[in-house]
Amino acid sequence: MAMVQAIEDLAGDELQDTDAQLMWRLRSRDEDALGELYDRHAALAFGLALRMVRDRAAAEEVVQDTFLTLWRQAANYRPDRASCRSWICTIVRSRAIDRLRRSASKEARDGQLAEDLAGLCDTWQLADESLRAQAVHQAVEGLPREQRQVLELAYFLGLSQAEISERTGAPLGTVKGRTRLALQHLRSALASATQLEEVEP
Amino acid sequence: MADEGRTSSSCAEVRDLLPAYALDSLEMGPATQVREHLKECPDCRAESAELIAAVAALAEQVDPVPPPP
Repeated sequence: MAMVQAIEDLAGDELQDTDAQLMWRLRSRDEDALGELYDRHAALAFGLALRMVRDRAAAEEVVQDTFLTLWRQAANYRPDRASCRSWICTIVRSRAIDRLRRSASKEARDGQLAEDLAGLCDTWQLADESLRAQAVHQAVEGLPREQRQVLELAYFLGLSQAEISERTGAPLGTVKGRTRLALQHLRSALASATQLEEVEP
Repeated sequence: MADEGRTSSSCAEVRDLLPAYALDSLEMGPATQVREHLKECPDCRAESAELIAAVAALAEQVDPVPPPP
């Protein structure tokens, strides 16, 4: 693995398109670009899908569906606003929730996802992937247990606020409060991690 | 102005709901309320976009698993 990484580093930018360049190629209907994005991000997508739907066949469908959505939505992608990785994670999660919650209409959720993607803004996004993962881990681990639980139930199990209230026995208002505090903490932790990265090259 | 169906929620109300909205964890009613407000309010829209991105970052907690070929 280290060897491959070293070769990729040596090869440099002129040989390897960035994610943003690949997304640009996707806009002009370049199927090879879709293949490259798949090679880069499918393991992340499959890992997340599997954690959510807990079934390999269903998770595979989620991943297929995700890259199809990426292909269809590429025209709305703005590299100055969001990373491709955030887009992919957002699509995977939405598709996984479609499977966890059969009740919601697919069309309505499709429209919602398209809007979420077009608006998505992660300018705080850390350039360095391992730093980013570390910042998220630290932020989540730094949360009080109750807030972390609410976040997990909502994010991975796709539970609504009312369902979380039912499951944990906490009043609905408390659940909402915990959700709010947890996400605000996460966002500011990520923002300050990004500032640190800019200061210390 | 006094269009019955368009009693727009206040920014303060919506800000309270945005984190749960970003997590896709709101019930249908409040979610619709937020969506309607976002259509008309660029400030709340910007806030929502950042929260959705923070939610996307939660995926970093998961170990990658190569999908079957």
